[in-house]
Amino acid sequence: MMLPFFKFGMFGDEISLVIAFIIGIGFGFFLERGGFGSSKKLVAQFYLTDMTVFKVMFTAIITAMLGVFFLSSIGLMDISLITIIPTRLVPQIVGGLVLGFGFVIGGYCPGTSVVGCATGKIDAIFFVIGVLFGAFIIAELFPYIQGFYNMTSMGKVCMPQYFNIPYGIVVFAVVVLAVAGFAGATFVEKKFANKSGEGK
Amino acid sequence: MSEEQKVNDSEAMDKTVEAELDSHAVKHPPKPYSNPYLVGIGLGIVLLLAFVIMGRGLGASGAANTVVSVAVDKVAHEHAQNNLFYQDYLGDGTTSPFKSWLVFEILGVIVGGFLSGILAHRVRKETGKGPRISNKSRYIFAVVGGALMGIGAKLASGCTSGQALTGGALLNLGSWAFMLSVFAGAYILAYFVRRLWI
Amino acid sequence: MDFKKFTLNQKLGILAIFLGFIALFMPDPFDTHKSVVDVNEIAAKMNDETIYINPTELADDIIQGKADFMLIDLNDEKVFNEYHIPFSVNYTTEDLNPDNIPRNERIIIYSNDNIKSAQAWFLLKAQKYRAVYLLKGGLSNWKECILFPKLSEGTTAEEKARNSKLVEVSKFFGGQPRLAGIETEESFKPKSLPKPKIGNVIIKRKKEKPKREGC
Repeated sequence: MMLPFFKFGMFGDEISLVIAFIIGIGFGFFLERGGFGSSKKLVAQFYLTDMTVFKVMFTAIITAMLGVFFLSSIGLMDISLITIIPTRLVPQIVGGLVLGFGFVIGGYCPGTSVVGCATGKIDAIFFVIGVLFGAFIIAELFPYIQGFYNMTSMGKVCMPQYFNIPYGIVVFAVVVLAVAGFAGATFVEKKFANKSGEGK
Repeated sequence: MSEEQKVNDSEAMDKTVEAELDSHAVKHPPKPYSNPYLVGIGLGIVLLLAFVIMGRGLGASGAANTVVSVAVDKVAHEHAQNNLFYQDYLGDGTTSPFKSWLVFEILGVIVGGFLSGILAHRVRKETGKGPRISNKSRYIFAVVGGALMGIGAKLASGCTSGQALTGGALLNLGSWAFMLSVFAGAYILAYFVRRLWI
Repeated sequence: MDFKKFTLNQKLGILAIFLGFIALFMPDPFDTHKSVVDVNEIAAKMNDETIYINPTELADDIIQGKADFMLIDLNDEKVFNEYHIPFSVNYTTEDLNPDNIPRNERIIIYSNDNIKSAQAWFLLKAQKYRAVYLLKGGLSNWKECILFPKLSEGTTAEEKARNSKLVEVSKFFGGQPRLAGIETEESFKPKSLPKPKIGNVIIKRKKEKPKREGC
């Protein structure tokens, strides 16, 4: 068992920054490949004419999920060493709704807006400015919303533990749901793209 | 050369450059987007590499929070040092806050996005928007949308890259709840802001 | 079913479901309390001198405020409360797992005797911890060398230097050096064991704030 490398002390902080840069390149590369540099394409998800966001996101999720599961299950990786963000259920749901509103108003999310900037989209630049501004607002309000922020704080909890279902079963369920979702998404796309006359 | 001649020459040059760029764009139209599932697998492998090498996932909003924290610290040091939010991103002063994993990752995202864009001839100055609004309106809404994102991301400890992708792959309870909320929020509001896009 | 007739996307979908199906039969990834032990490797390591750390080395690390290690005291609570080396934590053998013990720090173990610490060493090595060390001679040796060091006659300059270092270290930890010749083995009455200086911290442990790993 020697994965994750960094958590076993295989290399230090300087190298981890280089790795961050390289991984970032991969991240940005594939985001752009999928067309996520374009706000129109991203938002089309929510008008049901182009379900690429859903397809890419969930394919990525099940790919990484399967990778993590198999590597840990056979003992090559210590899954408990992977950083998990603690759950704060209600604030996260509220934050998610707010983020959803921001997504469909602004046309980007923080990661994709950077890709948009990198490929010359002017609206992406304004979006980034907006994100910085929003961060400033919440930063100033932060000390006053601690009560809300820490509501329903459940610590680090994963779905298998919470629902008391074996990890492998959850993995299988997620894969099946995702693939079913992909089939459904393709169906929806065809239906609505024809309706509005707008293709991809 | 008289002044007039110089102006005419430079105008002519501008026109030739423009014509060249146009013909380049015509000869190299943007390539169609790749198969979303293959893109997803690529993205998933990048995420998996982050897990395997670093024991952490991807992110984006954290970098924005860092930038804001440093800026506020420069302008109002006392205030920043006493604020829970800024303290978190500024660290204890021993290393630069910019030496953060997310900041370097975002720098990579810029390079990677540009690289893919160049290869697909998709790097061009443009504004994505619906046909019913002006560029200016679009920019204003972009800022508003971005601000909402900046706020929501801190409330949820992350954005779609960090929480949805990373937490999603790790079957994190809060991340899945977050992910569903994002889609819910976006779909609910989509009808009401449709003038922006369609 | 003609496999070739499926589109790429359909093949990918089938592959995904297949992998998910296999997942149903795989062991739980969080089941880290079971372990496969490389018997030869551990047996060889047991004879390696480098798994021991001398009390003087440990004392130096503590004085310098180093924070790159976790010091584990395996004695029971009563003994621990009487005296423990500053900055040590009290664990039982049941606590020795990744939930409590970080994988990327040096782990230094001691107990009053050598048995508990040896058991702990094995438990951690079996869980593939890489940097596990035993305090040579246990707590008794620590008391002997650090708290109550035996000073020599101190005639040569070398001996004088050595003595003053021992006195310095001993005083740092609240101990009491045994002067040579003046006190015999029998007549030495150590003052009560010092309370480890954790409240009034003279030693500043340079613990790094854990790096943000959020998003």
